[in-house]
Amino acid sequence: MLGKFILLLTLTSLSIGCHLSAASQSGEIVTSLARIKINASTGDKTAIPLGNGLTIINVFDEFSAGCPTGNRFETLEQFNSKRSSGISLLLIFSEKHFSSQDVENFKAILPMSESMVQGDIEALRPQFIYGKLLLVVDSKGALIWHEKPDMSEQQILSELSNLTNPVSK
Amino acid sequence: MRLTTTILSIMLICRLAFAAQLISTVPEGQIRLSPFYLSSQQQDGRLKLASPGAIAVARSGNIYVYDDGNSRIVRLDPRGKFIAEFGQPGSGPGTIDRAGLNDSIAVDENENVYVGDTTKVMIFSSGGKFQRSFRVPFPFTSIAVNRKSELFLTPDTARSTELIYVFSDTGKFLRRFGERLIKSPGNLARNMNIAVAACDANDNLLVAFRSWPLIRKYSPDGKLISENQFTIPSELIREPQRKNYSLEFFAQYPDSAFMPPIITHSISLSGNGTGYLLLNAHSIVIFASSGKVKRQFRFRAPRDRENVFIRLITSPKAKAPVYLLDTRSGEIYEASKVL
Repeated sequence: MLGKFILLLTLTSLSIGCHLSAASQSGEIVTSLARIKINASTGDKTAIPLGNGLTIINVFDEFSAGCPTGNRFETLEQFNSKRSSGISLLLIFSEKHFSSQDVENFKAILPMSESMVQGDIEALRPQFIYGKLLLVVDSKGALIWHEKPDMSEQQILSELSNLTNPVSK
Repeated sequence: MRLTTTILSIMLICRLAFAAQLISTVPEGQIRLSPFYLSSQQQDGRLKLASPGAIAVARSGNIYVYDDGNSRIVRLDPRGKFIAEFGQPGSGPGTIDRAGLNDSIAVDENENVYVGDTTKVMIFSSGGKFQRSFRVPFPFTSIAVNRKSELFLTPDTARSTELIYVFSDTGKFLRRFGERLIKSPGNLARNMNIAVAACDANDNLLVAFRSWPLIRKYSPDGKLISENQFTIPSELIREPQRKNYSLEFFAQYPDSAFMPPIITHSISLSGNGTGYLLLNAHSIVIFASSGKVKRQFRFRAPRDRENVFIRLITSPKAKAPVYLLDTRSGEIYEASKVL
């Protein structure tokens, strides 16, 4: 009986721990997100522009050799091709690791040119997963969803589709 | 019933005959490999190569090796003497990642060195000083450089895109061209569309597909000049592969799991226009400047199957030596009597 109680206690505490951990991670992301600045075309540093509906934000710090980022661009391209109006997309490249020439090249090569900017994303560094992080925020900047470690690109695409097209779910 | 069996038998015989016409046996060629640089015989640990992944030869004869396991570039003189090393592991400017099969390296007319590690190109001076780097939004598998120091990268992506991307030596995207072998997006299509490229003395670009026996020649501005398919040795294709090793199958099932029977590791051109492909670590295909295949053969390596040659390189000079890089042992051999 005592053994069962201890087991139940352990499982409960582990479960609460996980939830607390997830909640605190989301809290950290929200705090960090507010400190992200993008390089506006005027040369000024500005806060992340939010749309009227959901905004999909992907920050890129590095293209990891172990996890070729080509896949993420493919995911975003697929999402972008079916993106409904009112959903915004923003790809922010670290000004520390990508030059303005790099970003100009990406705009010339990839079909999401209007969504690409350079910025200071250092505040989110602890949250990066293989040098990048995908987030979904609402029009007030509240975090709706973020990618987790070990999620496949297919899972991410599916989550994005579900979040942005709830009717088709 | 008997009639059906007879028809099926005739169809089978026709199919086998057709297959036999397409696939020819390739003899073992007379090729002598002389040791050029043997890591195992170096006493100083600094001189040992660890899983080298790519090699380039400058017009001067100097040889540059992408020493993947040590995250550095090694420069050897034309006699195989270790001269210098540059690049370093870690992060930040001038650091070199381990990219494995995606290691690529090229040298231009001024002996600037272009190093590709998956999604980044780093540019070093001939003295090894880091100049600059730029990123590309996809992994790539080879770099070729022409006399104007334009860089030709071959993407490794499932996206439906062009075959070749061209950048200036300052990292500015210039243009893209070339039709993919399989136009549909998908993982098998991705593998089948991976290519390797090399520039000839007139800045034409010769492109070979990693897993399909085809050589294309493009003009400097990206116009297709010629396309030459060659046969591959029948012993390289296993029976289960034979049925599905066709462009029709790949186009129809661009996401299917299929292990192609060949891997083209390298393409290289000498100054007199002779071209070389290294296939499956132990086969060489020799082609003319038009891209038309003249000869192909398997060769026996010094340590036979223990040698894993993943790169073949020659230089822009007319009578240039041909080198083979063994990634497993870190050995470089000079091939003679290839032609």
